[in-house]
Amino acid sequence: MSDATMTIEGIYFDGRKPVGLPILLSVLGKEVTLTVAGTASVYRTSQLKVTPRIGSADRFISIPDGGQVQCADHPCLDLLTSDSPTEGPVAWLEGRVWVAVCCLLLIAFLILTAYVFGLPAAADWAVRKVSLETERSLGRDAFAWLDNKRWFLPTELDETTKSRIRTTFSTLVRGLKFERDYRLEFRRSKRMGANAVALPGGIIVITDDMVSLAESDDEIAAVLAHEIGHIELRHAMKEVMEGSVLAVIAGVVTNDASSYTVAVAGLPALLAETKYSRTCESEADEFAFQLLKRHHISPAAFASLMEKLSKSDDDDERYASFLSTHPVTADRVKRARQASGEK
Amino acid sequence: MNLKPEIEAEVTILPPEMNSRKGAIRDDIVGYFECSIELPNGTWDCRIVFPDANGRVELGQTTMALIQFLNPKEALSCLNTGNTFQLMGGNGIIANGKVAKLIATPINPIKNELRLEFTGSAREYFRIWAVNLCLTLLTAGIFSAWAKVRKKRYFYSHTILNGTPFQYLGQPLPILRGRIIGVTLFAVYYVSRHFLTSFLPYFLALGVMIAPWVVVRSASFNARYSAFRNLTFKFTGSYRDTYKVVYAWGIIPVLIAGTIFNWWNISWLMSIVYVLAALMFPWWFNHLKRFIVGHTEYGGVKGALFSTGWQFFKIYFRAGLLLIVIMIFVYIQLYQLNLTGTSRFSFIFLNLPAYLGYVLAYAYVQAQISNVVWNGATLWPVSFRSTLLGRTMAMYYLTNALAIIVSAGLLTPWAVIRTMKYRAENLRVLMAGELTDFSGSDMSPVSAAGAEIGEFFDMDLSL
Repeated sequence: MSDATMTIEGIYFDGRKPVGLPILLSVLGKEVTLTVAGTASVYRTSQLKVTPRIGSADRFISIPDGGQVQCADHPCLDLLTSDSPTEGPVAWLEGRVWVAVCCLLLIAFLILTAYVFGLPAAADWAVRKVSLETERSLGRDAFAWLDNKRWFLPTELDETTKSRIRTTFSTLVRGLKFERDYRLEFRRSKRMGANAVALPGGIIVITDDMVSLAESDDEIAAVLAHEIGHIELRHAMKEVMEGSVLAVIAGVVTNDASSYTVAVAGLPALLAETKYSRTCESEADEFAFQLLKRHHISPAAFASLMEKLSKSDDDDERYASFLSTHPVTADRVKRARQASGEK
Repeated sequence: MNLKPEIEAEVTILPPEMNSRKGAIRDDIVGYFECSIELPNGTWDCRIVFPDANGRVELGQTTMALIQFLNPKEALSCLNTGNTFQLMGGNGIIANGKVAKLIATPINPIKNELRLEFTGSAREYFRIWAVNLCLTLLTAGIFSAWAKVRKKRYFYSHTILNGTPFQYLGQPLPILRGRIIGVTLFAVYYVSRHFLTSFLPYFLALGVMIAPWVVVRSASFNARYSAFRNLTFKFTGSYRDTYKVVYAWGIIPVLIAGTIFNWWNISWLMSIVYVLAALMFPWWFNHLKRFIVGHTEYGGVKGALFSTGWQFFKIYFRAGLLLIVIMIFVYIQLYQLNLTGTSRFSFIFLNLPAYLGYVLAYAYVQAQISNVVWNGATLWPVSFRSTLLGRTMAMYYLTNALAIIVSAGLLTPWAVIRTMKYRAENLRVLMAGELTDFSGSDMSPVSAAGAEIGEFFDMDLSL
């Protein structure tokens, strides 16, 4: 800076009354002269603290006597001591359009990378860290809760049917990683209709409606194999992990949007979660096809059950809910048929 | 809207045996009550407020009180310092009083109606928003403390009253410290909710214990670090009083504990408890708002909020009614769909009216609560007029949502700024005196320059 005097006009507030007086600031080298109502006082630049630059707003200078000067932004204000030094570089970044553009590109890159690679890998890693005991107790709690809240009612299946399905089940899980943790439960459910659920820790619940919808044991085996896939791949834990991280990231990104709109904030997280759970579904499908083939059951049974479910959905509301969590797509049916074809 | 001049008076509530309003006045009076005042020129309706000690007064003792008139002009014209008067209630005298000070000059027209200006621009805020978001993601959230300060600073410095912007004095480091504590607590909560469910009740019980502490700390933080014309705001509520207000004399902790530990397993009993709690909510909310505004000071002047639980009840009731009407509509449509068995696509169209109704109800509650609070608040000689409209707010919310979705988030700053502008445009500041009426109250000049020497424990706990 040159030695020329720079003069800034401002308003002086003494800190005792909220009433302003016109003030003149003259900066010369390391000295600042303040002139209020004809009286001048001299300070060193290090004695005056100025608030950081923000947008095009006025800035405030604190004076040792407790007073304050409000004035329009001016380059020579940067000669004074900063009130909040860490904000200086941030203010510099905020002043530049190219920085904003770079920031946006970086944000897009970060989000995409995290979405495609980072998050699923991180969730896999975290799932391996969670002990099986934790997962089991989580599953038990959830099951007890569902029973308590009457989501599940006692089954009305006869013993022969039950023991037949149990035999199929124990054949399927024999030799699997979590063989000892598997438990099959029969329940009737008005709210869930024809459904099968895999709870964390190895509990698999199949509803009466599902049993009656399936025409052959092969079809029941197909559903069970799919749920076994969820457990063997620890999907429940993975979804909890991914869900938590997603919620946090979406919270950060939509922080501003959420208070000025309604119900937009949840949208990106919801979309991402749908994608992740669809990935889980097709992984479980793949697993089921392999498992079925190992036991000489054709994956076509899976396809035929799926088709039955989607057909019954049109005329009977009871079967709708399995589909909402296990979307039937032509694609899934096609893959099941393909899997049954190749040997 | 008229201003509400008031007089400060020494009031002696008559002890129960001499009091004609037996039963109506309990051993202690909390907050305010309505009565009439007998003056040489007639009997006038008024409201008596006990601002000190959270409004608690002993019967038979002389206490300082504020008397607020519903029709000020006539009522105040014959009052002067030293005059005595009687307060009437029920069917006789309930208290004697003596005027200590006329806080406003008796006939006190509004001299000035000031507009609040918001001068932020979407273009400028866009850059701040982009830098904040990017650095927050890159630093795994650490930068969020700086982001918060920059954002608040931007909003405050572009909110201009009478040529002077407001000032945000918060500093990033104390906020970072507060956030670390907040995040830790939240992580414990999250883990206990998903993995250690048996631990959750105890954690929630702990949360119930510290909630009033958080209320006091964040109210103090927000007040202390907001300034206008080199005078900071101040929050003077004590922990004790906050506990009483937040917990409504212990009713709410019992409700929460009951829910956590499943005390009422009988479902009808639980429904009754919930319905009662919901009905109580507007009155509780009113108490809390009055407490916070009533303990906020600026330039030596204590704020006061004149609102009733009934006002809040009406807002929630109307919003609830709207939601119920929409729910019934959706159910009827659903029922007809079931009968005719139409495809699943029409199902999606049902969600649209439900969403619109929800947005409208939400915006209505937001707008009306703002109105009740601002219109009832005074910081003598300043009062406010808020004219927000629920349906306009709903339009803002909907168009914001649409713009943000279509632009993949890029229009977020634009949405923020235009909503801020609408809110500022609908808030007027009414001046019945001069700004010189605010003195740093000679006793305690709280200057903005000294605010940074805040206490170490002044933390912002908002997540």
